Amino acid sequence: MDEKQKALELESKRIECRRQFYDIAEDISKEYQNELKGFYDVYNNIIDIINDSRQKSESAEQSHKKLTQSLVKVQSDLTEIQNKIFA
Amino acid sequence: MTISEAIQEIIKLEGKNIFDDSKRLHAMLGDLASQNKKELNIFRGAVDEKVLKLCIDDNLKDNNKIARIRTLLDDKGLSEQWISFVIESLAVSLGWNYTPIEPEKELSIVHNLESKAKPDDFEKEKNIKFIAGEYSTEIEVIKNKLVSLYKKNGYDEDVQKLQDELLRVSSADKIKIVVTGQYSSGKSSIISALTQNNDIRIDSDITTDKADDYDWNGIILTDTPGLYANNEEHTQKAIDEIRQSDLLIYCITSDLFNQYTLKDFKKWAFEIGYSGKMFLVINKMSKEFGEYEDLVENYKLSLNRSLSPHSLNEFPYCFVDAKDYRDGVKDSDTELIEYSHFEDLIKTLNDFIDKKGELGKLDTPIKILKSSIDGVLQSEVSTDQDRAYYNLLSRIERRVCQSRNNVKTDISFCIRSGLNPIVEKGVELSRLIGEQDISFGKWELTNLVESTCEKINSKLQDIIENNYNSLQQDLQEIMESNTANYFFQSVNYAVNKKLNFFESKQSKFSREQFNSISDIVKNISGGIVNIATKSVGSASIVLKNSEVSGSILHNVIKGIGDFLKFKFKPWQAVKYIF
Repeated sequence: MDEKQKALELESKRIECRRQFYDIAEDISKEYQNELKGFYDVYNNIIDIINDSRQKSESAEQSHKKLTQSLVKVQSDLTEIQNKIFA
Repeated sequence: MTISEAIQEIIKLEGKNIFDDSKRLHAMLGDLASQNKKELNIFRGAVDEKVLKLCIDDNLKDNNKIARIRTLLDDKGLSEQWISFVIESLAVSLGWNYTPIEPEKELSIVHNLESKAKPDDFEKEKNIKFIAGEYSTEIEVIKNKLVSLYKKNGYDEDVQKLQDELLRVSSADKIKIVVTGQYSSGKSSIISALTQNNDIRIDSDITTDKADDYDWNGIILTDTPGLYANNEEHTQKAIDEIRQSDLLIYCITSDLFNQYTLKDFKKWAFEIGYSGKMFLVINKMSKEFGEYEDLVENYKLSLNRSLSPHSLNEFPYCFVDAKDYRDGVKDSDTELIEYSHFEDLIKTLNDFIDKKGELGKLDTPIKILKSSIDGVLQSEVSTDQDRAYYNLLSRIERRVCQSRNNVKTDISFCIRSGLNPIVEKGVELSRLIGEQDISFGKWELTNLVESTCEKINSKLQDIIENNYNSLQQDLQEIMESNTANYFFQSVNYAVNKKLNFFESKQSKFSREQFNSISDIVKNISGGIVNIATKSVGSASIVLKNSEVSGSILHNVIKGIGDFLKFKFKPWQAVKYIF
C-alpha cells in the first residue's frame, strides 16, 4: 500500500469519525424536535381559537347586515300601506 | 299555482277543518299562491271567518251558500268582478255546482231567504270597509314576515313585546281618538261638550295630569295632559297616548299656533306621518271680537302661512267655542249653541270618523310594527365595539404568534448549540486518528451525551418558562389597554346583567364576544377576565394559582418541564459506534 493510499484511508477514517459524532448530534436533535412538536401545537391551537372567534363574529355581523336590510324593506312596505290608507 | 288550485292542495293536506282557522288558511295560501299577489290580497281580504263558515255549512245548498257569500262580499264593497273571482275560486276548489248567473238573481235569492234589503246608499262606507279588510290582510302578512325575521335572528324578546302590543290594540275594537294640544287649549271642554259629561274637570289652570278615556257613541275619546306646561311627565304621557291613537284631534286656541305648538303639530303631521288622521280644532273663538266669518277668514290666512309649504286644507278643521256650546246646552240657549259653531264640529268629526276611522285603526298596528323595527335597528351592535373586539383578537393573536416563533427559534438554537460539544468531540478525535492511540469508548460517549443533554434540558426549561411568563405579562398589558377598557365597558351590561329567557340579540352578541375573549385568555393563562361592576369599564385578569394550573398552555409547559427533568433521555436513542 503506497503512502497516498494510506493517507486516503486515514482521511476516510477521520471523516467517518466526524460523521458518526455528527449523526449522534443529529439523532438527538431530531429526538428533541419530535418531542417538542406537541408543545408548538398548543400555540397553534390557541391561534385557531382566535381565528374561529373572529370568523364567528364576522358571520354574525354579516347576518346582522342582512337583517337590517330586510327590516328596512319591511318598514318601507309599511310606509307604502300608510300612504295608501291616508291617500 | 292559482288560488283554487292552492285551496285544493291545502284541503288535501289539512282537510276541510282548515276552514275553521282563517289565519292558518290565509298563511298557507300565501305560501302556495304567492305569485298571484293581487288576487291573493283580494281573496284574503274578502274571505273572512264568516265566509269560511258558510263554505263548510253542510245545511246549506251550494246556490244558497253562494248567494249568502255574495251578499257578504257585496257588503264589504267588493266590485262585481272581484266577487265573481272569489266565488268562482271557492266553487272550483270546493266542487260546488256553480254556474255564473246574473248577480241580481243571486241577490234576489238572498232577499227572498232573509227578507233583507240590500243597502244601496252606503257604497262609500262599504268601500272603506273592504279596503280596510284588504290592508288588514297585508299588514298581517307583513307582521308574520317580521316575526319570522325576528325569530330567525334571535330577537325573541322583541317578538314577545310586539305581540303583546298588537294584542292590546287588536282587543280594543273601538276607535280611539286622542285629544291633544297645548295646556289650557280646551281639550277637556271639547270632550265634555261632545260627551255631555259635566263631571270632567275644566279650569283655566292645568287640570289634566293623566290620560282619561270617555265614551262617545261607541268611540273612545282620550283626554291628555297638555303639552309644553314645563312638565316632562305630562308631555310624555300625552306622547304615549298619541302613539296609540287611531285618530287625533289637535287643539289650539284662537291665539293660533305659537312656536312650540307649531313645531309639535308639524312633527306629528309631516315628520311622523299622522297628517291623514289629524283633525285640527281652533277653540275659544268667543274670546275674540268681530264677526265669526271674518275671524275665520283671517285665521285661515294666518294658519296657511304657519303651515306653509303645507296648507290648512290638508286637514279637516273647525273654529268653535266648546264652553259656549256646553253653556248653551245647559241653559237651552239655542243662540249660544249656534254661536259656538260646535255642531259644525260634531258633523265634520262624524264625517271624518266615517271616512278615516276604520283606516285609522289600521294605522295603529303599522305604527307599532314600525316602532318595533326602529327599536331593533337601534340595537345594532356598535361598530366601535366590534372594532375594539377585533383589535383585541388581533393583538392577542400577534402576541401568541410572536411567542410561538420566539420559543421555536430559541429552542432550535439551544439544541443546536447545546449539541456542539458532541460534534466538536468528533472533530477532536478525528484529528487524533493516525496520530496516537485513542481511548474513547462507550462509557466516555455515554457520559458526554448525557451531560450535554442535561445541560440542554435545563436551558430548554428556562427558555419555555421565560417565554410563557413574557406572554402572560403581555396578555395582562393587552387586557389593561384602552382598547380593552372600551370593549369591556361596551359589553359590561350584557355580561353582568341577570340572564333571562328572552335575551336581546345585542346582549347575546356582546356576551358572546366577551366569552370568546375570556376563553382565549383562559387557554393561555388560566386566568379569568373579570369586569368590575362598580367601576364600569375597568377589567382585569384575575389569576389564582389554582386557576393558572388549569391553563392548557401552562399544563403543557409544566408537562414538558417534568418530561425534560425526569423522563426525557434522548441519548438512549443513540446508536453507539464503539
